[in-house]
Amino acid sequence: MAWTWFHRLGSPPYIYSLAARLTPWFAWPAAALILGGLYGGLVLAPPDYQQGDGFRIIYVHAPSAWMSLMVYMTMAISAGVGLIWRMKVAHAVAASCAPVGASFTVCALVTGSLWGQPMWGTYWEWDPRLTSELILLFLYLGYMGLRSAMEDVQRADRSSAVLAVVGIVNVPIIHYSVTWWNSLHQAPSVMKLARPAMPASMLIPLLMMLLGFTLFFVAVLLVRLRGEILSRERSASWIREAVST
Amino acid sequence: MSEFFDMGGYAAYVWPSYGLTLIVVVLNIVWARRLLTRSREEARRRLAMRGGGDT
Amino acid sequence: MTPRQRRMTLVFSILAGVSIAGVLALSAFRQNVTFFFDPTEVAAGKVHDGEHFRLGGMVTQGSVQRLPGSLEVRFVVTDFKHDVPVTYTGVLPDLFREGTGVVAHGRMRGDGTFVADEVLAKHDEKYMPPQVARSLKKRHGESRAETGAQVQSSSPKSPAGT
Repeated sequence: MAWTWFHRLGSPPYIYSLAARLTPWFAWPAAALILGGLYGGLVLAPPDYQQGDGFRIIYVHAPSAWMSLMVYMTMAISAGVGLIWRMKVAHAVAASCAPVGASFTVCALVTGSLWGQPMWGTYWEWDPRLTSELILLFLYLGYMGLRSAMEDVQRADRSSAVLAVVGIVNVPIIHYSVTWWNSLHQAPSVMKLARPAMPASMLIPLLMMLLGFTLFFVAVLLVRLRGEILSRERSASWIREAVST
Repeated sequence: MSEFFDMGGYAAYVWPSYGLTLIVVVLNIVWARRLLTRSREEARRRLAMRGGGDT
Repeated sequence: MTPRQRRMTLVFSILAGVSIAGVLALSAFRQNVTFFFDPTEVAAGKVHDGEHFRLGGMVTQGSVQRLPGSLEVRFVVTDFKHDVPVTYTGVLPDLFREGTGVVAHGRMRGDGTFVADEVLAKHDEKYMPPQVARSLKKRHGESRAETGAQVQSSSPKSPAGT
């Protein structure tokens, strides 16, 4: 029973129309959460006892870093599904993820760098967290480069998917780097259920930004996915109706 | 108000960070929409060629 | 095995292979991958003579001395088990304070002093408003950073955060 649902997801025309219908349901809440989170983080949250107002960079840095990891997981899992089930739509999802993930990885690295300079005293250090995040960027760029290097879409799909899947080992490394090894970057403040490392006034805007960016990613993915699917469906009959509006 | 922009002396680090993030967000929106528009146009062109090209 | 099962096996085998290779590589190179050594590791002789390395730990309360007439600063880095005296000439980062974490680049001098050519401040993952920090300080009679929580979160075996 569940498999019919799964295989329906593999149907390009179904996904195309579903994506179109779902997009506003992600886009608008994303905008509301991000705007609310920005106000909460920039205006309402008190300054930090150590970092003063400089800590507010967290409201763009942490969501960007979260995006870089979450988007990679989505990309790698869809790539794996595409490899195993030979599903075009899954490969289309992976391909749509890559530019989004790469841009947020750059954002995480640069905002982190800007935050590091006043607080640590340096724009960059080869510590485990920063180094593995940089490797993530290379994985994204490698994935995109591999795709564009191959003429045949199927071969592009398959080889880039292998890279995406292999690179998934980097994700737990990035997350646990600060607890497994001595590092300059501090331990996670949010991903722990025990004692929260910040009061509600600081935490709530951060959670809003994290959720808002996640919904934003889904909305962008849905739009990209439609474009990706259209460009792959050369002669399908459903396209005539889909693009005539 | 100027205190807000000063960000406790960290303005030079805070505002470029927010600015870059805004750029990345807008870029993603624009890029995604352009990709979709272009794919739709290409699809229409392909259909038109096939439809009107073999009479 | 169906073709799909074969592909699934292939994908997971590749993943397993890469993970195992990664674990082996990282544990084999642990010495070189170590980002900083703490005072205990330095005392245990884990650093080679004259080697340029990073020293990490906490700045001992009350140990900071500024030499008049120069930019030289002396302080002690501790992990609450061993101490390493440090000397540094240069500007210290904003967040450098007694009782907070540091990571210093440099090398050991013959007399057991670490000569740093760069000092970075390391802060913990806790954020709080100034009033909360002040009332905590009053209640415990010491700054939050002194509770050793910072050194805990910088050592590889710490349970801090997940």
